[in-house]
Amino acid sequence: MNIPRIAVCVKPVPDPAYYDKITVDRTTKRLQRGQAPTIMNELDRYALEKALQLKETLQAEITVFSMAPSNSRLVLLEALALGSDKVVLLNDIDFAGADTLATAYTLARGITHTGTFDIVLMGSESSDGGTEQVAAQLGEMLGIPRFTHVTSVSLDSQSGRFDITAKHDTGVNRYRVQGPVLCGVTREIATPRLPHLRNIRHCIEKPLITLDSKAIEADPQRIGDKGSPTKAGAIYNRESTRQGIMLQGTPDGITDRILTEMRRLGVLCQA
Amino acid sequence: MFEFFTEEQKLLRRVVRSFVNEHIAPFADEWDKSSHCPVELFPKMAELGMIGCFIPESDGGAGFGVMERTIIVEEIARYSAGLAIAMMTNDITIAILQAYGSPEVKARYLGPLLRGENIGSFAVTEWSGGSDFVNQTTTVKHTENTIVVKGQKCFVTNSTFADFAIITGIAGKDKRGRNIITGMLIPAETEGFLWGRVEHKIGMKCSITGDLILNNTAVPHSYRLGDDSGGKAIALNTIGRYGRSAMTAIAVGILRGCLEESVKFAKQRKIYGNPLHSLFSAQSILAQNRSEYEAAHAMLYNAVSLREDNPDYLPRIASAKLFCAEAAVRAGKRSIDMMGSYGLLEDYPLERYLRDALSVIPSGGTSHIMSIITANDLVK
Amino acid sequence: MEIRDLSSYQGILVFGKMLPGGPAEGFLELLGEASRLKAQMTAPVRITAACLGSSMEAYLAPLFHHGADHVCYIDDSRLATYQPHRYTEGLFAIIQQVKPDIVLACASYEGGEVASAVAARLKTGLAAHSVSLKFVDGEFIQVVPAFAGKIYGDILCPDTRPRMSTIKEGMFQKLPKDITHTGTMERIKLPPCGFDERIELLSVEDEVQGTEKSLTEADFVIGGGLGIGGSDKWRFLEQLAEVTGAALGCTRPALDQHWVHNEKSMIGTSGVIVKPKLYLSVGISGAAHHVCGVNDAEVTIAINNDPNATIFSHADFGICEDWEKIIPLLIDKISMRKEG
Repeated sequence: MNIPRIAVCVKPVPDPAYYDKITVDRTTKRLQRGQAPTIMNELDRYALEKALQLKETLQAEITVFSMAPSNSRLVLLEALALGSDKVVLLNDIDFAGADTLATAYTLARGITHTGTFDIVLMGSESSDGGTEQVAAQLGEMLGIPRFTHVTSVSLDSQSGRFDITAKHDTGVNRYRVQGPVLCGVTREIATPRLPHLRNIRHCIEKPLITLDSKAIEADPQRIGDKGSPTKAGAIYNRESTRQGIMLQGTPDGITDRILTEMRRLGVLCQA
Repeated sequence: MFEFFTEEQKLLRRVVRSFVNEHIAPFADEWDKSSHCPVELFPKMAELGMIGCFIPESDGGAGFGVMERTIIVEEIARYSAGLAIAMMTNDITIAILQAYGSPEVKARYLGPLLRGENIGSFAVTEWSGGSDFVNQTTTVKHTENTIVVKGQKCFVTNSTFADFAIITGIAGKDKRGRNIITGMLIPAETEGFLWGRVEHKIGMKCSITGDLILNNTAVPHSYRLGDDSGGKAIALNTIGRYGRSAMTAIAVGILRGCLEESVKFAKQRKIYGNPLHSLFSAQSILAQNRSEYEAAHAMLYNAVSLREDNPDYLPRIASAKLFCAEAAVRAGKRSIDMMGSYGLLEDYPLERYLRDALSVIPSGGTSHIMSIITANDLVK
Repeated sequence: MEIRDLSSYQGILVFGKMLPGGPAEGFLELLGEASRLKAQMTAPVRITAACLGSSMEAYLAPLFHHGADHVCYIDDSRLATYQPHRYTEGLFAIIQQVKPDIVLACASYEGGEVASAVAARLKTGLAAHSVSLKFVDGEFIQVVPAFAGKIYGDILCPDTRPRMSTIKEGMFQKLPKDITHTGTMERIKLPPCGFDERIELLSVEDEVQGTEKSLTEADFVIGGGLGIGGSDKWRFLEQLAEVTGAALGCTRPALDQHWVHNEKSMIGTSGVIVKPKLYLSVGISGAAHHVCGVNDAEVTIAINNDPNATIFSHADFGICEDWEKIIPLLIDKISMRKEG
């Protein structure tokens, strides 16, 4: 087998630490994102870490793909600083408003246009949308075997076969798969690192290529809002309706109060 | 806020912030309460290149500059001013070794320092005071094979655990009758090297400060830093360049801490049935916290972005330290005022921030000294 | 977008998991929701249950008893164990056969994965983790969470069919069992599965049924977070769960600390959604991800020593105190009651 080629899909997302600041404007009904910085989707970071580990043992080559607005550069530079060899940014005003299907299609076009890959890695889920759909859909569009909720991947470089462990509803399955293959990963896959500061100085020198819809020869009917079968309707805040009573007093008094509540609700088993 | 960071600087800040959130923020309070300097964290910081980040890549550093180092110190100080001063002192010793160390000393210490395995201390101040630098009493005698030092230093950061101290002492007088000040590195295991009393400070409790007693400690000539009379330049240049900017960064970190924690409290604390921030008095404090933080941040990074050979550099840093350190104390005090009795509780970090802010003032030169430097520059 | 004859897609199809011995609880819940939707539709429609598995024909009856009018299934030894590519072929074949207007799939690992792949093949829309389904002025609206449940949004699928949705277990109620309700059965064949020669199944490790079931079913749920402070201390929560018969769950950080090993005991949007009568959170700060998983609890009590913890604004009763002063005492009192 030649040097393994790894594709990693990375989604820039608003930092979940700022979710409390995200609201829906009561008059305009539009999403107010606050000043949430854009960061790398957490599970994609795990996927990239797995790719970096494969690179360390097998001299693999890593290409990161991201469909994102151009203000996500820091996330992509971080992917380069971490050790990716190249970033392909899929950026076009016509990509805007994509649902999971249009996103998967766009990523598939970007990947196919760029080259062939032995494995495509990505997070099983994004922290903002949280649909858990894109990995399976991308695998479907690339026409390769795909697994989601993958907890471990290893590659036998002699045979080019991957050993993959993936969760299902009642446990885990272990597979041996002839590549190319796509894996949507979970946190068990690896423990992500931070980039060494030295590499931050050098990431600027690495290739960061921007491709638009024409460059990847995308069907205009299948990208962005136009290519999205789902349409977003109204959005609203989830309001808390809890009483918010603070219980004061001694631990003795507080525990009695909890016991009363348990009795009232009938959850204090009499056994 | 300073808005002209490069992409690399923004990314560096983001990476350091992730590190701080994971390894520093959750423990800072505990370190303060137990007066524990987290030396165990140095190898971890080093793994990322946070220690001595200004050392060129060819010598094992990250190849950044003072600007980036200032960002790192601010990020650490946001949660732990004490660790920030411990780390910045260690950085000063790295900068001195890099600039003035003999090949032998560099070969012995630079690697372990950059890996976080060794930690350095910088012992210049004596009982007579740090700013009366030329009239120190520590003596340096040159013998055929060694340099012998006798004297006592105080307010030594990283005392008790540092692997060496960089010290200065008087080697004699020049033709014009002025003291010749020599600088050198003394390994902690040298005979006659003794850590003295440890101070119990109001703030920065997780940085260890104490005395150093040098009782005829002898080191080879190669442990001298620079030439015989290089001590003054070593101490003053490095304090000016790496010390004061970092102390100012610590003040800015504390200012950000006061701002963020006061906002958090004002939103969550209910008073008269409404959030605290609905009171004008609280709003006024939040607004002052923000404007002073914004001003301090811009002032610091603006000054640090000057080239060090710019004659404006030292007075500008001095002005920044004067403003930022005093602003940090004001922010700590008024945030505590806003919180009422809660502000006094150790359960909230504000009392620690105020204690730390007070401790910024004398380190690297008091506000009065900063005023003198600033004013002298204006009227010269 | 491809123009399709939308009217040729009729009825509701529910895809759920067949466990050994019968359909999973989540499958029956989705049939319950399908029945409620059916009642809102003007034209008479049929509810189809889609089943994939091996040797399961004898266990399909509960699907009828809980609302299915029709069961379309593939019984094939190749489906004895879940494999994503085979199950995708299976569900795709059933949907091609039934041509439903609406598809509801369980948002489990398997259901979510298969529904996503099938939606990609059908080039149709799939709403993820819907929390509410309704018809408004004839439009089918799927309400989904975003930003870990901080925001909810309506999803429409105007131009393609079927309109697909995944739904977390525990989100909807199953219908009371009605053994008089019956329907028709239809068995179809599993088409060839393209990747069979490239994929070798090495082993299948079925976990013992974890706490997931009890978390979603328990009347009393305890959740522990990072504030517990150690795996040795975690035992107090286990002990409390034991003496009260509660189900014990956790947050992501507690899982990351390895105090808990079962990923399925994580409560929240990316874990299990619980709706007990009482939810007691201990040492949990109240991140949106978590809070959204307990929104449907009847009463919530939160213990946290940080007076600023967000969890207090999502609690009926807040206790700002070290949990170690409360929980052991609570255990003692309950144990004494039992003995006494």
